[in-house]
Amino acid sequence: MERKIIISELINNALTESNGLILREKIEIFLKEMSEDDTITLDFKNITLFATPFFNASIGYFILNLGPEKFAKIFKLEQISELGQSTYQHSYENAVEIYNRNTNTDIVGEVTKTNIENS
Amino acid sequence: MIPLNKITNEEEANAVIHKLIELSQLKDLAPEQKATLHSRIFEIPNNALTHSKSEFGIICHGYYKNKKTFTFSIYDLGIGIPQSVRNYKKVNMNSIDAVKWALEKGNTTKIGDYPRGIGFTLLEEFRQNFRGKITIITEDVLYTASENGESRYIKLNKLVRGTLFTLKISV
Repeated sequence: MERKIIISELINNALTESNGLILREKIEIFLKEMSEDDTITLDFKNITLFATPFFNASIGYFILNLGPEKFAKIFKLEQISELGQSTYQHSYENAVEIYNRNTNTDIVGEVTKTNIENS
Repeated sequence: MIPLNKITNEEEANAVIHKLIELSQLKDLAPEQKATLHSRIFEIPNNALTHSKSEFGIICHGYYKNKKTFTFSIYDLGIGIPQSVRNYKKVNMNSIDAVKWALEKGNTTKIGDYPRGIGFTLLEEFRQNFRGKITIITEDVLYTASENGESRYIKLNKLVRGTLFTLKISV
């Protein structure tokens, strides 16, 4: 099932961290109710202003917590302007980089720990 | 006229940016260009609010009709970028290295549950697209990214309190 969030019904711009946190809260409610194959569409119709604090606090949070693969399966963006898409892309790529960096560090930590225990 | 007032949060910063665009010749820009200008400029005060630990700052802007350039500056009386980086990394870095670290994509001194550190990268891209210049003065460092793409870090012989950030673009 597709669940849709019409962003302009929640907030009037995609600039601020506080608006990003409002979106995050809405998404979290949906995620709790979701089945395996459900998706969430973020509809940005009538939103014209975009900045990284908004995307970092909202979708960036979910990329770090779900991982990029699961994020891509669940989320879709639509009716987003070129400015919005560009801003989102920067935020998305930064989040994926941080996720990969943290994951690699965790793996190294686990391997090191195992080696120490087994030595 | 924009009355002198205190900006303490993102919403107030956004409102000031909206007013200064609408009160200037920039209000006649195409909607997409105006939205881009507004959105990218917002990254500047947002950065100051997030990092400076300052309760006081000044925003200045100007549109120079003959040269068709727009300048936006924000000055905060915070701890400065180098000290913010030293406090975060808990090492005694020299000021130029600290500013270089801060301006690198993905780096941030703000800890939280979501990713950060991309605002300056977007501003730099915006500067390139609009043939602009960025100037940062903080502690004893002057950083410039000029219209021809050249970046420079210059050690000043005096200490400056807080951080001054200026963006100049052609519109």
